[in-house]
Amino acid sequence: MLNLNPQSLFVGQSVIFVQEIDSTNEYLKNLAKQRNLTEGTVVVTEFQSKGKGQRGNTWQSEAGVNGLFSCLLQPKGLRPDQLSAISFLVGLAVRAVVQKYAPDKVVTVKWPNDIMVENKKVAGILIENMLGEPVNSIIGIGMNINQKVFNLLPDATSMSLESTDKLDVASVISDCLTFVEKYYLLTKRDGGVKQLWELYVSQLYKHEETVQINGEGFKVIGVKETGELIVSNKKGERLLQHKEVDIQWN
Amino acid sequence: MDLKEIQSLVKLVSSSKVDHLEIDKNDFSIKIKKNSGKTEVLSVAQAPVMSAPAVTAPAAPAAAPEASASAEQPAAETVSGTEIKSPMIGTFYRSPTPDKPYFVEVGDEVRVGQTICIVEAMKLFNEIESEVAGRVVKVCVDDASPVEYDQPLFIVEPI
Repeated sequence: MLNLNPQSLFVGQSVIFVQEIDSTNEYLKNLAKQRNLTEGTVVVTEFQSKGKGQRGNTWQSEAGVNGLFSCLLQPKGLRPDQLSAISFLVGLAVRAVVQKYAPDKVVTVKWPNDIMVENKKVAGILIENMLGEPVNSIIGIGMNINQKVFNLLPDATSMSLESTDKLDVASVISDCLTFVEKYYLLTKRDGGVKQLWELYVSQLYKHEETVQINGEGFKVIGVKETGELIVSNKKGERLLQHKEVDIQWN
Repeated sequence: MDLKEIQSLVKLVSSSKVDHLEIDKNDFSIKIKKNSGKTEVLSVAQAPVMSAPAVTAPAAPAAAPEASASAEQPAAETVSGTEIKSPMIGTFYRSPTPDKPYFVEVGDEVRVGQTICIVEAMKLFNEIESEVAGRVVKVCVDDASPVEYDQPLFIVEPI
């Protein structure tokens, strides 16, 4: 059992703990379909048997050492073309938590929303929106917290590997929920969506550096407010949608 | 709707057993009526700006009743329902994950609020719900294809 204590008004104030589960996103999604849930409801587990990455990619995790949870947001007043703001705010929130525990490291957000410590992935985010009335936005977050070994994933790391201490999983998750709410509330303020976007760009992985796209070098210029990655080389500028191309970041 | 689309509609009517087809969209409407084996466009109306290209429509296809085409009823039905459109630019997925069955198939009945597809944009996976109850008569886009804002994804015929 994880005792969460986020410093928040509603995110994480209603928590469903499940010992073992196939996917917290799936669980929360099904629950949201069955009944009206309070905004900010969180499903948390110690072990995900079918941790979900995007489009069926799996997420590797040992039991009890990592932060695996999903949170329900119901963004009002965001147009469909502004939904990237959810991606920005969650990326920023998780990044801020990792930075808090690894203050000396460079922590960035790899477009669209992996959290990186230097060149290694420490956390992943999967957002699934149910575009009805209200919009139910299921925010799935997987953070490597105390895992020490990543045999099959040489490019992965954990927060404890990047700081010196063993971390308290419940505290890290609580911090994360606190930050999610903090950044989420920004979307409701005048100009807040634009501010989130600017913050996101300022924390972008490989910003102003060169990446390879189909064997060709491009400089990462930024991200559009609608979420596309902007890259350029001497032939000109390109806007990239996720999945459209395979980017070699290193 | 452009000339090409009108042409194909006229062809569709002429090659099917349907006698009369009416489409009424937000700012555009068209009626196609079959008359003694000959197909003609009776009226194109409403928004003046939109109707301009349509005026030229009857010229090309009107006298083209293709007798060879088999009379496929379902094809004719596909244009008579409500379009469910993409609310955003992204990638269209028909199943929750690649190994799962499609949310809906042609012929399935859907209810209001039922998830019918996913449009992914920058790793945001958006489940799109049907706004209407009815029967899916056409899936307009292939699985895993890019879609534009407002592009029709499904046509659902009210039942």
